[in-house]
Amino acid sequence: MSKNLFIHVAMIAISIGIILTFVQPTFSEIGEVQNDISVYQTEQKKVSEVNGRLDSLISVLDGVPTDDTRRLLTYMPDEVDTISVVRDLSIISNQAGVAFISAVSVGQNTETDQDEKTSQFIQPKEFLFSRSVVGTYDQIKNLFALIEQNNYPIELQTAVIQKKDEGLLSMEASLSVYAHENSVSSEEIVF
Amino acid sequence: MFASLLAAGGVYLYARYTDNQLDLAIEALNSEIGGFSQADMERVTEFDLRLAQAQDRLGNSVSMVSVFEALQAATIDTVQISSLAIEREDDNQLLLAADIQTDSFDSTIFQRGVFLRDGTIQKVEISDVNNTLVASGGRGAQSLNLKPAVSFQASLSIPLEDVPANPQSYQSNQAVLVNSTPSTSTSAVGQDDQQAEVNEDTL
Repeated sequence: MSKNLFIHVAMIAISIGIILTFVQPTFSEIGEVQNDISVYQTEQKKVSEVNGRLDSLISVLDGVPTDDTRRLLTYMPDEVDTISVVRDLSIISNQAGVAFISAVSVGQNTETDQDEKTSQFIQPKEFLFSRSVVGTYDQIKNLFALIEQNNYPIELQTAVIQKKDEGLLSMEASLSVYAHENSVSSEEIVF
Repeated sequence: MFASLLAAGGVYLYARYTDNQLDLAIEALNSEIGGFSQADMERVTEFDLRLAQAQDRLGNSVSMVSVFEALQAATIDTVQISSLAIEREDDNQLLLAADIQTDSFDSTIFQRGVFLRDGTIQKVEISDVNNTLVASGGRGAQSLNLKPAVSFQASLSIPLEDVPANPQSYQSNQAVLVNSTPSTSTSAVGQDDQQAEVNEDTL
């Protein structure tokens, strides 16, 4: 009788030991693994969404007409060809009818304004040109009208217009031309 | 005892199963990451940035013709601008400093009022008001005729958003502008000038 009781007590003790030393810890591990599976699946879903979005954007990009891409590259080129800009300014001056005195490339403007410092937006590179012309008021106005129609932006930064003899005006102007600034490195692409 | 052994076996098998599931999830994630193209992403971000920069410059482009027309519209007949300095203050506003000559103080006061009432020109400051005598008529000593004049400096500012460039209008006007003589470009302005009593020969 006491032997059977001892066996029963021993079996219960062993059962409790199995549950405490194997079943319960393994259950905890299973819970952790299931959490990990859930995390991996969530991350996989995110990467899948990024890949899908990227594929759709590439499709959109490939669907952009070649002419539009060319116009964009003209409007915001990788580099500013200073000789071409001076030539274009000369052509525009001739079309406007002003006497073209000079156009000189001053170089890249490396100063950053306050808005740019606080903004996350990467501003394009700015190249400055100085320019001198002489013409009538209407001719100078026409000059600016033609500049505004140029295929790439030529922005007036400063201008000094002074009256000369015989109804003519002289203008000393500083103009900006822009080029694409791409400082996004692969390290900055974070998901 | 038997039940606990059975439970232990079941838990062991389920643990193996979940481990297997974890391996599959890791493999699937690695496969998905492997499908990501860094080159494509750089191509898209580069294009997007170029487009954003172009949009930014386009959005901040200014029509200097509109600036001149605004100045014309706000300049009275008896006023003559002898020099004009224009400075673009970042992407915020244009600062104009004009040396102006009038025939009287009344014209000066009237001109100041016209500037102040103008919808485009902001922050009008009149300074260095001087009453002088200026030569008029011929250049010879015999025909030299002195008349009183008032000169002053006007500092004006024009917000960029008030004089935006309108590229869509250029396509229709392009042929006209390129082929026109310079004097024809003011024909449209003349109508406004008559209404506002402006002086086209301000400079």
